[in-house]
Formats: sequence, structure tokens, C-alpha cells
Amino acid sequence: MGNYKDWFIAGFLLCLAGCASSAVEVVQVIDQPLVVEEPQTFVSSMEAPDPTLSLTVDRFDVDLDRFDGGKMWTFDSPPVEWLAEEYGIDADSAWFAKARLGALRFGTNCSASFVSDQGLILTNHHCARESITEVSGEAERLLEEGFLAATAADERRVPDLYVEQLWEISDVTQRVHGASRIVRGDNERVRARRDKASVIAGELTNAAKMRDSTLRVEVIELYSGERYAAYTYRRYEDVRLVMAPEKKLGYFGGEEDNFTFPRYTLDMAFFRAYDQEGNPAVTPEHYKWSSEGANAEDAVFVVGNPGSTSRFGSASQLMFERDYTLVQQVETLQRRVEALQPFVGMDQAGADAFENMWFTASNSLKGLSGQLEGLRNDTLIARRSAAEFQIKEDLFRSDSLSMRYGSLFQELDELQLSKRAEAGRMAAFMFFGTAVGSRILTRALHGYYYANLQRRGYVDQEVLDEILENALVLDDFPAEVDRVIITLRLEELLEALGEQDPTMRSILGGLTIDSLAANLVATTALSDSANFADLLDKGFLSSDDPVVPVISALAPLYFTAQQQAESFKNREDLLVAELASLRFALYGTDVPPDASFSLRISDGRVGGYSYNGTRAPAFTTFYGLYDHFYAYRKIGRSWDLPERWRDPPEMFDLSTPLNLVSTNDITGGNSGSPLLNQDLEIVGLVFDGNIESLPNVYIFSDRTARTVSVDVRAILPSLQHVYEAERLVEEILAAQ
Amino acid sequence: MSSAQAKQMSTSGEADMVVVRHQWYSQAHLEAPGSHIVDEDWIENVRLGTLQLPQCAGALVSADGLAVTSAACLRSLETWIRPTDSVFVADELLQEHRLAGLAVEQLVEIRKLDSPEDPPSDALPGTRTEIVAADDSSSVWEYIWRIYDDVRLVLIPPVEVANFGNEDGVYPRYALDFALFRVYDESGQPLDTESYFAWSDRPPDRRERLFATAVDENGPFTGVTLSDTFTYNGTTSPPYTTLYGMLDLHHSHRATGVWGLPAGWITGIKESDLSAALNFSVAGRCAQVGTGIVDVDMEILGIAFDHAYTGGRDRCVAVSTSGILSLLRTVFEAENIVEELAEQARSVEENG
Repeated sequence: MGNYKDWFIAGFLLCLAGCASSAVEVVQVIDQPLVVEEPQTFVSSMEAPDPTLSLTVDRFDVDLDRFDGGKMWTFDSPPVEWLAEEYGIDADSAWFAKARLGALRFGTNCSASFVSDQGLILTNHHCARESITEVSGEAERLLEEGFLAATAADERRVPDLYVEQLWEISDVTQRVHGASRIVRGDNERVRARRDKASVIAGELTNAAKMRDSTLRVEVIELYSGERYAAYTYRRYEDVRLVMAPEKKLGYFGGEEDNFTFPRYTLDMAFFRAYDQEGNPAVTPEHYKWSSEGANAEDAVFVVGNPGSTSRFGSASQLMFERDYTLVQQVETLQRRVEALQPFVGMDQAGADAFENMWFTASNSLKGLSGQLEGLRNDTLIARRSAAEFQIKEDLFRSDSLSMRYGSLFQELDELQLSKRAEAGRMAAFMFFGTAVGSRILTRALHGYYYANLQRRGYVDQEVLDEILENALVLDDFPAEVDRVIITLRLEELLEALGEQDPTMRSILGGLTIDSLAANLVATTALSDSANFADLLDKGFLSSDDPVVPVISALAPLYFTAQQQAESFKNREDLLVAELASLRFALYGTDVPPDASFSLRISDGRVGGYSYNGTRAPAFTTFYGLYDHFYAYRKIGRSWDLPERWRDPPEMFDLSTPLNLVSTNDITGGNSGSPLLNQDLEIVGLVFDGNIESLPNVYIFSDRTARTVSVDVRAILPSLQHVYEAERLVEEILAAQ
Repeated sequence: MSSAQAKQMSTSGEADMVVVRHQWYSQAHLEAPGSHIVDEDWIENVRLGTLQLPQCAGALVSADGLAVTSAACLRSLETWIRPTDSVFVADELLQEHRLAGLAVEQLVEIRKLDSPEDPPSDALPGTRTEIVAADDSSSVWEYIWRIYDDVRLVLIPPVEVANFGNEDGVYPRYALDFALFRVYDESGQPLDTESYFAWSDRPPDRRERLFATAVDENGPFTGVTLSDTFTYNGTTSPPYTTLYGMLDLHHSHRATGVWGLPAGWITGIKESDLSAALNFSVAGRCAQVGTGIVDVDMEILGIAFDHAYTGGRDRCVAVSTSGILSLLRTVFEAENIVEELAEQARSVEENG
């Protein structure tokens, strides 16, 4: 999926108001000083009906699978018995240490691995994109044309890029929990534990740095705080780009083929870690390169850093996702993608920014639709319901657990009822102020917030600067695009609020939606980034810009919805954390904890699957690359090949495997992970999941869901025969 | 044209196949908006170029009676062609092998009758007549069929290639499902015909308006259809597949089972232009296997060999004449046939 990284980028699209850490969404920097807090109303007196009664599949008709929660094993509690049972592998602590030390966390959202003893790193092209652009000189187009460092001196350092190797793990649960034993109240206990974890991390980091200045320690929360582990990372802060193919090859198939298999993408890039003296890092822990590759049915392992999933909540939560959140997201994106489709490919000012947005939106739409389709299969929710029922049964065998958690599921169910009551209003603001929003309204929202903070004498200049930066960083869209998005948003608001709503009437001011949108686009200063900056200086809210009355009516409503969403989310997070604690109390480490962008190992097997009325093979070959190049050449840019690949040298065997699929459990963050055989040699490079894997975010299944990797056998011949990268080939071969 | 037919025409979406029966033909129904227009001569030529086989259709592709259909249509006959037989190529007329028991028919005339009681024409030797009524019995026609019972096999690919992947009902698809035969007249000479489809060496263009022509029990019809892509498997379907894709699947599946191509073929195919189109799909359901997919210039671009329901609608899956041509030159070493097809294509161009 251009892939998991785009998924991260798309993350800000996916969250309704209130999610954390996005550069674009204005709400990130808002701590809600503008509206009077409304009392929180949770439906608590009302008995929530069993939400799963409406399912066509009964929970008694489904089999719980041991791995519904997934197979993202921690190295803290490695699956020694399972690997012996399933694969007959005698994986001792040395095996797991080797698996752990070759793997890397790459930057802030990808995975990678060491593939030579001189610090050579293998990851995905789509994880390297920003780095490639950053090291491009002014006259260079390295992302398009590719890069190969002829000598070590030509390797280019990427500013701010670092990789981290998980050096040591120790259990610090007792120390962290000790701090919270006397603390009363759930919220307070969580806070006390997190504070303590952060203190311990600081202490351990200081101690580690005495030994070795490249070490730092993170205290990782597992099972929502039932377990804490100190992860000592070795961080390499001098990372240099060594080789990247052309984008056309590294991203062959483009957005269209995202989540698709069969696939034909050489999604790879090489970097090198350097030590503090500026020499290539000495990395004897690297993985060896398998010359044979894998066969169908072989056991394979993904070692990487999965982000997170939604596998551990209640059935009622899934049903809310299915009936509201996902439907609203899908419908909102669908309307925009369809309405804006005619503008794609037009040569006009702002086309690039708009098309990036459009493709990101289409891609998010594809991902979300796949998840929604998964949830609309009642079997999935019935399985979650069965798991829930099992937990309840197990829970009531213990008096102390019953006392503590007896009402947990009911509280979760009731919370969903409260959310349902508010869902209509939330829908009208879906993706408002985000990258898929109209530029005019998004700037106006920032401007409104900035002006209000200023007026109230808000003093934290950093916050103010950040709002400005977020507003000014937005590239202009073509005016017509903005007009279409504003029209859609106004229609959505009208639908949610009704014609008689005072806010709606004040926004429209007697105009039709169409004429208001047209007026705004024609006359506002906010369609242009520079004019907007001017206006901010002069005082946005006191100006006579036509967008001022619109945003002044809209923003308070938005912030109220936002705040409501946030309070729901806080409450839900707390309940889900309690559920994780309960699960841990019942089942311990038999079930791996949810992913947390820390190192995991996931087992699986190479294998094809049924799709499209036929069978998807376990592997694809370079013949398929050319099949797609020629088959699609008249209809799109996604399957174009760079010049040097058009006519490959005769030496190059097109029957060489190019991509492969396996049943490993992955999610966003796993991009760039090595796929290893049982001797811990590299047989592949993980870069995507197939379309059938999208519902895996809710329940892990390996029936047709697959991890998609670049086959290791594709890499050396490409380097050797097409890129003539002898230096690199020799280094990899010498490291065996 | 009955009102029911008119309704069907007017309510069909453009991506559905619009079926026009020749007896109901009127100019308006085959007009492609703003582009090509076919006329009554075109319709008559198409009818005469189309052959009816048992359960199948076929299309004449040369002035000397050479015709094409789906390989399955000939293999399903109880003739000497057994499923296990490998490739057959007749290098010259003398080697063409008569398919005993097979007769093909050509609809040489359609006469409108005033009433069902009208006496039928006397059937001439080598013909048969048939009375056909519209669904609502409002009109009645007499069809006069010419019967050819000397039909000889010219070329058929090995079954592993024609049925490659055994992927019934699937598109994208990579099967070389076609066979060539020749129609002979009563005197044992290759049929001399003016009506045939010139062999095209190109795949369809995107959203090209094409015509699927066949004869079924209710008479000849031409379906107006569109080549187009659709959404499937999280991506966009290919407008057509290529010979590269056939080799990809052969190697991807490690040449096992239905994915194994005969060894000789691998070598031969590699000498071909692998970028040549192999299969494509058009919107709608092709009534019969062996239906020719033709363009407005009466060039044949494909031969229907399967039906797939995918991307939310029916699709007719065809083998591309351009891929066949590429392989006739290499794997089949059938230079004579290539020349015969090229000759016809040239003469049509000159006359046209």
C-alpha cells in the first residue's frame, strides 16, 4: 500500500475530531478554550439491549480461533511452544535474539533490517520516499530517476533519519506497578503508572548512555499497562541513502494496485548506518540473504514494528464502527472522490496538491471500504461476540474479577448507545478541517482559532506559531475543486441540521448552497495562501471577507462536536484498557498484546489462496511486470516502466520470482520488515497486505488474507543486471 | 421491431450489450452516437460471415472459407479430436482433416411472412427453411439456411494451452481458446465467399464500440458492446491481457497442474511478441461461444470463449486475434495461414 506509510499519512483522514498528532488537522493544537464545556451525558440508567441480537449469524455458530487476536508476538514472551507445535522448530533464546537483533525500526513509521556486516539496511521504497526527496540536489529528480551510490563516499546522509535496533529487554512491571499500588481511581492509577514508566525510562537511559552513548531506553506498556518492559534501543543517527530504484518500479501499480495481489512491485531501497566516527557501522547481527528463496508452505517469519489494531474491543464497538463511523467515513470520502474525479488530470494551477489529495482520499476509501465490507459479514462480529461471551463466562468464575470487571461490557455497550445519539451531528463534520477538506474552510478554521486565541490574550507563542504554520503550509487547490468541496460540506451540514436550524440559516444567509459556494470561491482572500497570510496579519475576523460569517457560525458548532467526540474517546480508551487488563488476568501472555509500534515477530506460511473465481499463486514473476506494463499502457500512468526496464538485458531471467504472499499477521508499521525463513535468512521484504487482509484490523484471519512481500530472489538480479550495482551485490554476497 | 425490443434498446445502459436481431434491424439501432454508423450492407455481410455450429458460433475469416471458433466447440464434437490430442496444424489444404459428422450453417436469407400460414419456400438441396415468430407473435419470418457438411480442421492448439488455467468464468484470463477450420462446398472446393471478417492485428481500444455477432436459435443478432475496464480485487482490470501474463502464470504456479504449458510451447512463445494481446472482455453476455467480436470496419478482434460475472455485471471473455496472429507466426509455424489472413485483410483494405 504505497503503502503502510500512506496508511499512516491517511491516518489523519481517518480520525474524526480528537485524534492526536497530525500536522494538518487544526484540532491537534486545540485544548478547547473556546466553548463552555457541556455536561457529559452517558446513558447509564438505561439497560443496553444485547446489540448482537440482530446478527444473522449466532455466536454459537462460529468457532473461536485461538488467533482471532492475531499473532504479533513480543520478544518478551516469545511463542516457543507454538513454533515447536506448528512448525517443529526448536526456537531457543539464541534464535529469538538473532531474529530480534537483525531487525530495525526505521524512522517513525516503518521497519527495516541489516543485511550486511557493514551496516547495510534494506527497507521499502515507499518508506524511503521522503529521504530520497530530501537528499535530492536542486537539479536532481532522484525519486523519479532512482539513486545508486557508486562508492561509499557517494552515499548521502539523510537529515534527521535514524534507525533503532532492539538491543535488550527487561521486565519492569513490578517497579511501575509499585508506584500505583496506593493510588485510588482508575484514571489516577493509569496516570501514576505512566509517570513512573517515564521516570524509569529516563533513569535507565542515563545508565545505558554511561555504557554506550547510542543506547536509549523506552518503557513499553503492554496489555494496557498490565505489563511494562524496558526496551533498550541502539540508535543509529547517521543513516545514508545507498540505492533506490525509480519510483515507477518501486511503486509499480501505484495507488490502484495498493492492497492488491497478484502484484509486481520492486518496493525496495538500501541505506547504510554509520557509527559516530562516520564509519560504516559494524553489524555482525545482520540477517543472511537466502539464495534459494522460499517455497509454498514454508514457515516464514515477519520481524517488524506493527502500529496498532482494533482487535480487542467489544462486539458493540464493532457494530458502532460498522453502522456509523465507517459508513460516515466511506460516504464522505465517496462523495468527494466521485465529485472531484473529473478534475483529475486537468492541467491547472494547484493540480498537484489536489491530485495528491484525491489519490490519498481514493486510497483511504479503498481501505475503509474493505474494512466495512469485513464488518458487514456477520460472522466476523459473531466471532467477536463469542469471544466476549467466553470472557464473561470465565470472568464470573472469579469473585474478585467479577467485582472489578462485572459491568465492563455493559458500560461499553451503553457508551455505544450514547455515541449513536450524537452520530448524526458528528457525521456533518467528518474530515472537516483535514487534508480532504476545502482549503478555504480549513484556512478559515485555523484563522478563526488563531484570532480567538489572540483576542483572549493566549500567550504560548509556540502554539500560536504552530497554528499559523499548519494553516500556511497548505498548498492551494484549483478554485473549482474548493467550490465542489464546500458545496458537499454545506449539503452535509444541511442534511444533519435541517433547514430551520439557526446556524444553518445564518451560514446560508438566504442564499442557496450553490450560490453561496460560488460566491465564497469567487470573492474570498482565503483561496490563496499568500493572501491568507496577509489577512491574518491584518486581523482575519474583523475583515469583511465573506468567509468570516460562515466560519463564525460553523466553528463553535464544530468545536462542540469535537469536544463531545473527545470525551467519548477518553471514556472508551479507559474501558478498552480495562478490558485488556481483564483479558490479561484471564489468559496471561497466551494472547499477544495489541501492536504498539514496537518489535514483534509473526509466524506464517507461504501460500496462494482463492480469489476472483480462481487461484492466486504464492509467487509472481517479472513476466507479470511486463504483462501489466503492456496491458495497461493505454489507460494509465500507474503501470509505466522506467526507461532502463523497458528492454531488460538478455541475462535477466523474467521467470524470476518478483513478489510473494504469506499468512503472517501484519499491520501499518510493518512496511520494510524482513520476511525470514526458519534459519532466519531473508526470503522477502514485506510491503503490503492484500485486499482480503483489510478486515484483519478487527479479527485476524489467514484464510485468504495475505502479507505481500518482494521476493528476495528479485533483488540481486535487478541490482546486478539492470542497475549494474556490483559494489552492493558483492557486499551482500560477501556477508553470507 | 417489437415494442418490447424497443424498450430493451432504450433502457439498456451503455455498458450493457445491446442486442439487435437482424430481422428487426433498422438503422437507428446500430448507430454509435457521434461516430461510426453501420448500414444494411454491413448487417448483411455480418450475417453471411457468421456461421452456426452445434451449440456454438463461428466466423468466416477469408474468401476461401477459412473460419474461426472456440477450440472447445470443436473438441466437444465426437470426432477424432480427443482432448488429449496435442496441437494440429495443416500446412496445406491437403492436410486439412475432415470433421466427420460436423455440419455448419449460414443464414443466407430472411423473408418476412404476412402470416404464419404462408407456405414456406421449397427447400433447395443443401438448404433448410425455418419459420420463426416474434415473442408476441406479431411478426413471422422465414429463415433459409445453407448447410455445409464438409468442414475440415485447419488448426487447433493443445488442450493445455486452449484451457490454460481451467479458469471457467474468470477475467483477467490467459487462455488461447480458438481453432481454425475451413468450409468446403458441395464440389469439395474451399468455399468461395465474399462475406467474411478481416483478421485484425490489434487489441480493442479503450471504450471502443464493438459488435458481437452470432446466430442462435432465434436467428442472427448483433450485440453492440464496449470494451472497458472495471474495478476488481482492489484495482482496475486490465483492458486486455498479454502473452507475458501467460508465462507469468506458468512460472508463478511452478508449471503445476492446469498451469503447465507444454515444454515446446515455452520456447516457441518466447520467440513471439510477448506484448501481443491474449484475452480481453466486453460488457454483456455473449449468447454463444465462438461468437466473433468485430469492429465497425468488419475486422474481427476477438473470438468469445467464455462468460464471466465480475465487476458487478456480465462480461464476455474473448481471445484476441492479435495474440493468435503472433503465435501463428512462431509456435504454430503456420506461415500459409498467416499469409491467407493477411491477404484477406489487405484486400478488404483495398476494396474498402
